[in-house]
Amino acid sequence: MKRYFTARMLGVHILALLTIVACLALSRWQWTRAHVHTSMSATSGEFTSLSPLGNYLPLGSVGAQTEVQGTWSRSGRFFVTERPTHGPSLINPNRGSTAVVSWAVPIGAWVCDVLILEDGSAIGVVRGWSENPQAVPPAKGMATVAGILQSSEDADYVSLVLLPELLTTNLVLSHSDVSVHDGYLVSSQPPRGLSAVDPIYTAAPKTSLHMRNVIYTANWIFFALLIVAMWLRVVRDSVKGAITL
Amino acid sequence: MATETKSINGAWTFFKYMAFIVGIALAVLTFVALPYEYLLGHGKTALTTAAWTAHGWLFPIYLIATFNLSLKLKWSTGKTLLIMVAGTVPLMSFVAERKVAQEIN
Repeated sequence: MKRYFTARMLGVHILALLTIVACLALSRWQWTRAHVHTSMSATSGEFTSLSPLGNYLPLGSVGAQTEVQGTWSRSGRFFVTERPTHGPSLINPNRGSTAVVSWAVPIGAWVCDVLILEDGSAIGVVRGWSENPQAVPPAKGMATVAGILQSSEDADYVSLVLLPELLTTNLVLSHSDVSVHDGYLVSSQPPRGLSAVDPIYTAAPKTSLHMRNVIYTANWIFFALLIVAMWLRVVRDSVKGAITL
Repeated sequence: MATETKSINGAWTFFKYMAFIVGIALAVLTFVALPYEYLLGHGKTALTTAAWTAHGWLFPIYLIATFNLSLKLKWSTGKTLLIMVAGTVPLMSFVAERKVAQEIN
């Protein structure tokens, strides 16, 4: 028994176990990446709710029309830069199809503010697009905002040509002092001086499996099995004295 | 001893071919498919997905070939792992193949 637990053999055991765990973790990661929102459902999204705090925005609420009431945060102003007019023309929700970036359109920024709702929670609002966002005064006072709910932008949807900053819940959170709801709201009625942003989703997205990542999931499981086989072989051969570690 | 030489030769040939195939595949993917997908903005197409997937299965075969040869040539674990990792770096598997060829000849 001792032969299986010499100092060198312990090293082999630890290395094998670590790589197996790593392979399985990577397999799991690919499996989550395999689930993508490829297309929108035919029916327009029926609003269910804002995300419960600390939870993801329910898929059924993505692309849904909603109206929220609250007070604009005093320090909630931020910009999402490098956005063409109307926004998502460089976002590509239908993965696999060509992401078209037209160089002719002017590049500006999404002007965003954080709206603090009556229950003390907050949500990020894209108020509109401007070529000169600095000139737009921050929102203040109470407001009722009608808009369309969106989930965090995903790097996979975005053409990497311009490497734009992504609008994610984390970005909203970094400009808010209170808990924020997942996703963001794209205002349908931009204030004067801003043009409307076309939301990426105007209906709830459908989830489908991305084949490449499904196969990568299988690859990682195969790697884990390969390591098990190598591990057994190395242990067997070194105990027999056929190899020296 | 003749059978042992024969089995080393077999393992070497297997490794040599796999190092070559994986080397070409990874080079094409890195220097053609990646720029096509991301720099030219075509995204994931059916063809590039097929190519990546094929590489995803060729690479484990390269690992098997490396492991097989490592047993025949009684390599240390570290050396075996190094040659395996070489298969993940573009053009590196060609270097690994040269190094092993020097050892064999």
